[in-house]
Amino acid sequence: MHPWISFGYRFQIHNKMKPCRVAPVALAAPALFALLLAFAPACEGTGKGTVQIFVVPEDTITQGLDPGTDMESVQDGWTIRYSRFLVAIGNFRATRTDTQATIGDSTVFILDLRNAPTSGYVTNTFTNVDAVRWDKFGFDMPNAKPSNQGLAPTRQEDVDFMIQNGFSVYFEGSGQKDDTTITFKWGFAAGTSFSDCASPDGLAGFAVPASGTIQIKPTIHGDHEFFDNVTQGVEITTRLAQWLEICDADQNGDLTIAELKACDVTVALPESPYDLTSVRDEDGDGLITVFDYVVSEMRSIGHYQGDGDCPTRLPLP
Amino acid sequence: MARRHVSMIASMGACLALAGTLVAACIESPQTLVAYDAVVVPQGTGSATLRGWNVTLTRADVALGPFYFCASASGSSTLCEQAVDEITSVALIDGLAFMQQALLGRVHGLSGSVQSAAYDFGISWFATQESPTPAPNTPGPGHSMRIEGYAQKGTGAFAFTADVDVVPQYQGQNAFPTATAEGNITSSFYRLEVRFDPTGWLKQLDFDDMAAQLAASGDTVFHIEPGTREHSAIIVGIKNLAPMDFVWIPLSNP
Repeated sequence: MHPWISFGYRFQIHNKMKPCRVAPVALAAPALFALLLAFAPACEGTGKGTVQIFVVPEDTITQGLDPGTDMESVQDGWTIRYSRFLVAIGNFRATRTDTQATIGDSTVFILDLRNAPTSGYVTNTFTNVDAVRWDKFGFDMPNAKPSNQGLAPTRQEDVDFMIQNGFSVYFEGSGQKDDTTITFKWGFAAGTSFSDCASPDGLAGFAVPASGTIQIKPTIHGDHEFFDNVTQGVEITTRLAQWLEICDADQNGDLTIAELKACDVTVALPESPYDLTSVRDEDGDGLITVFDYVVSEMRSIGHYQGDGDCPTRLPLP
Repeated sequence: MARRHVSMIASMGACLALAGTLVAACIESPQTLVAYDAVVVPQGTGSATLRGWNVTLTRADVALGPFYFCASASGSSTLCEQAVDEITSVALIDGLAFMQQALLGRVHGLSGSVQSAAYDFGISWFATQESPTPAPNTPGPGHSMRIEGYAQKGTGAFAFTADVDVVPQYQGQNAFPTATAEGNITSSFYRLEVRFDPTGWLKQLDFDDMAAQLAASGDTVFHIEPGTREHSAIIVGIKNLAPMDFVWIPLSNP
């Protein structure tokens, strides 16, 4: 077990509701006892469990995206590969709406998702957690700060790089179609909090099993900058990458941040098929460029249990 | 024995009190049916300086609706399957009627909190429709809006027109699938104001390029139609640079 893993000293539980002892009055007042049973969760039992947080990359980060006609493929023939993918992520938190009890850990980690362990990074283990549903779960992907920590196998130089630049996400990779290859090295200070996470089947938060362990998997997606809209909820979208070549103004095969900021969305991301609703003027230049589009997409890459969504997203410093 | 009995009753009483509290906590204040007017409040003067050009609008006929207001933070159809309040009709309004508050429609629904909106500009694509379908009262007919005006910079000037279609991207979605809209409607004594500045919708237009195109073609009026780069620019203005604001104004009881 890695020494960064949180056990107890960063683990906090704030349960504002005291357990209630029930007197054995069933024979004397069966109706009242039935009423008490109906509210058993309030006079809750002693079941406890463990919550483990695993940060995992989507396959698109580790394996890339392939061209094709099925929904998960890049529809316009591009092959996308990442060679480096770093994120800042942490402040994992959960709340029970019924009692307002919370668990959480404000630690933020810098993680190399391209080289993540097979099962992901175990960032936190919360023990002795009430075995009930914790219906509110969220996490942050803030802009990196000096207090952030690395987790092996993330290299210290990657941690330092993210902190020095204040990035929330940084990636390097390439797009290739026919004889054309476009490389990119992009970092963004797109700090965002992700809240109200629900699993792909729509269940809010998670349920802790008594005497068992629930694995929570904040999942980082690697294909959103190739979506044709900023999805919320179910990812109804088409993946397209032709804009990589369109925005490479100097046609040198390397697409820079400066070129993204100069790339007009009306040319690279035209209204059909694109819908740019929710894209903001991120750099404040008064226009919407492809840079604004990519940053807005970076504010949506945090997911939950695979394809589950965290629909409440707010900017973070 | 008597003391033990008292203790049992006290314990039972404590838990019953707790249960009672929980019962009260579980029963939310009942929602009530509400109905109130929505009006459009055009902002600005119809003139603005955009990318170095003085732009004046002479016509802005806009089809608005239907509107759906959601309790969820996102108005996306996959996150807001049922609206709290809605305007099901489509209204054709004059976006340059700055001194008026034209009736947009009647809002029907329930009391409660609104956190987002989703809406169309007269062209909807409901799950039951095979393709995007314009309402009968759209300008054109068949478009979301008709805009006319002129742009002037130094000694150069040109007129322009725009037939704009704001079309839902996917079946079952709205043309504007989610927008910020925050209100807490407690009764029918409210007025919803929908505010927008139609000149803001032209912020992404490249007037220099439009002038150059006109000079090259010899035309005197620049016509913007769906499928063009300029049309995409207006859509960006509508959705990203100058989206509509929704303000709920409480009214005093009559």
